This record gives sequence, C-alpha cells and structure tokens, in this order.
Amino acid sequence: MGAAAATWAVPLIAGAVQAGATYYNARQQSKRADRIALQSLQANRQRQQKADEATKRLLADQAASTPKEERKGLLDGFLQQLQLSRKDAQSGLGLAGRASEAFSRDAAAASLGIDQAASSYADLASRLDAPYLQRRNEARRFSDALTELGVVGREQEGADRVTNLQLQGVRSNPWLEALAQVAGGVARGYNPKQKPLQPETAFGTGVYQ
Amino acid sequence: MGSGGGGASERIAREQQQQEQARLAAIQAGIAQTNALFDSPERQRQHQEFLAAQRQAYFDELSRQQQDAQRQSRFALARSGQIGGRQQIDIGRDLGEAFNRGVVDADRHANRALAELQAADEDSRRNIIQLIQSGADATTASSAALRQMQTSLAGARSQMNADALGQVFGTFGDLYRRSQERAEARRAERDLGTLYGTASRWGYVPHAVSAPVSVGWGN
Repeated sequence: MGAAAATWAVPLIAGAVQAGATYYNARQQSKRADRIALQSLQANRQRQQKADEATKRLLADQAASTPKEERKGLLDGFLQQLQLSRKDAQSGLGLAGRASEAFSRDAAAASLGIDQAASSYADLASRLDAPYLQRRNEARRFSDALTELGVVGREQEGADRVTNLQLQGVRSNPWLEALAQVAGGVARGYNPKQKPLQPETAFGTGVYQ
Repeated sequence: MGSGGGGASERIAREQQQQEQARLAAIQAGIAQTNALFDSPERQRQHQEFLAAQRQAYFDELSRQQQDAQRQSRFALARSGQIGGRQQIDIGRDLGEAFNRGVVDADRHANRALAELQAADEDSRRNIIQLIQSGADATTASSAALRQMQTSLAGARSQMNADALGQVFGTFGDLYRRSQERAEARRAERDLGTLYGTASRWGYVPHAVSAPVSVGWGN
C-alpha cells in the first residue's frame, strides 16, 4: 500500500515543486524587471520636468523681450561718446582772434544746433540698432535653453544605458532553477520497481548478466 | 505571470500613457504660446517702430541731400544769372523728380530692412517650436538650429546705410561744381582786368583762364 502510494505521490509532489519553483522564479524575475522599468520611468518624468522648465523659461523670456533695455544702453553709449567728442564737433565754430557779437551769438546757436542734431541722430541710431541687439540676446537665451536641454538629453541617454544594464542583469535565481530541474527529473524518472543501474565500464554498459 | 506582475505592468503602461499625454500637451501649449508671442500686438508694434526708424533715417538723409542740392542749385543759378529763368524751372523739375525717386527708394530700403527683421523672427519662431518639440522629448535639439538662427540674424543685419540711397541728387552736384568753376573763372577775369585794365580798355574778355594765370595771380 505504501509503495503504491509512493508510486504516484512522489512524482506528483516533485512535479508540483518543479512548477512552483519555476513560477516563483519567473515571477520574481518579472517583478524585478518591472520595478526597474517603473523607477526608470519615474526618473524620466523628473528629467522631463527639468526640460519643460527650460522651455517654459525660454518662452517667458521671449514674451518679456522688448528692445527698450537695449535701446537705452545703446543711447547712453552714443551720448557718452558724443559728449567726449563734443569739442571736436564744434571746432568749426571757433574763430581765431576777437569775434563780433553777432558771430558769437550765431556760433552759440549753431553749437546748440549741433548738440540737438547729435542727440537726435543718437536717438535714431539707437532705435535702428536696438531690435538687432534684442534679437541677438534672444538668440543667446535660445542657445542657453538648447544647452540646458542638451544636458537633460545626455542625462537621459546615460540613464537609459544604466536601465538597460540593470534589465540585462535581472536573472533567474539559480538555486530555484536547480531545484526545479531536480524536481522535474524526479517527477519524470521516479520508479520504485526499477533496479538501480550498475556503473559504466570502458567496454560497454557495464551491466553483467 | 501572476496578478502581481500584471499590476506592475499596468502601472508601467499607465505611467507611460501619462507621460505621453503630458508630452503632447506640452508641445501643443508651447507651440500655441510661441505663435501667440510672435503674432502678438507687441511684436507687431516693435516691427512698426523699427520701420518708422528706418524710414526716418532714410528720409532724413534724403532731406539733407535735397537741401544741399537746392542750395547749390540756387547759388549756381544766381551766379549764372538764371534765377527766374527757364533754367530754374528745368532744374527745379529735375530736383523734384529726383526727390520723388529718392522717396520711393527710401521707402523700399526701409521695407526691405523690416522684411529681413521679420524673416529673422520667423526663423526664431520655427527654431523655438523645434526646441519645444525636442525639449518635450527630452532629447538634444540639433545645434544646427542655433547656427541657422544666428545666420538669419546676421543676414538681417543689413542695417540702415546712408550709402544705400546713394547720391540722389548726384547730377546736381555737377551743376554746382561747374558753377563754382565758372565763378573762379570770373574772379580770375576780374582780377586780370583790374590789374591791367584790359577788360575795359581793350574789351579783352578771356573765355578761359589758363592755369599759370590762375595760379600765379589768383588769391
């Protein structure tokens, strides 16, 4: 009775052990891979937020971009240079020797005219150049955003490589594999009535009749 | 796979879907915002201000040249005793026509400068949209975009140039020059006549004063 029960019970148990070990092993493997993938996706989300911030900042800068500041800077520079060269500009109004009252009066008026014309031209020149300067600054901000996104992109590439390596490193548990193989062997080959095999010899099966 | 693995897969799929939706939303919002920026009344106002500045620069130059030409013509006509004559009408008409050509050319130059600035802005718009798309993918945008942007800007830098108008009244300068030469000649004649009394006594009126006379006795 005991031997008969063992005839079917041992293979059954061994088969169940094999199936359980294989399933558990595969499930653990899958869970580890999923965990890595999920962590990677969450890290991607954070990096994406960084990239989104960079583009948002660029758009905000672009929205605030006007030529006012550039124009003011240019105008100040022009006026400063005009002030430095004012004497040269008015050298044509000088007179060697004593000048008449009328000449002095007219020269003073002309001098004022030169100053006004200079200011007017400086103002015009600043209006002409400011839009170009504005766009140059916009291009610089674009370049900054591009660099920032490049850094994020490279971080992403590095993270992808690491994730791939981690996924490749997810292997099944060798002990569980061994257990499943042994259990499988037992389930397939268990037969209490079979005589044990004799050791093999160099000349054949080694079974002496 | 059991339920545990399936749950994780669902979470992964959900996470991916959320990220994809966020990516698409970011692209759409970014493009809309970029277009709104470049089409904004503020940008249009900046363009119009730039056009006005260009026009003013060209028209100031044109006006300066016109005043010079008119002054020179007036002196030339006065010296030759043509004020109020047919010659004045001809010159006046020529000056007017040249001025009108200058007006049209000045406006063309100003509009061309504006078109270049607008083209640079269009390049910027396109590059920013590309950057938004690549940024939403968190990948590196091509540096070619930046190079193109800078090139466009450099191309648009055909800044206002007084030489662009050229000499609108160039031919009137010749008139003035000839008038000046005539004035010099008359002065030399007068000096010659004063020194020797030849003009009044013998009715000697030299039509051309040779260089040695001019150099030697002129002042």
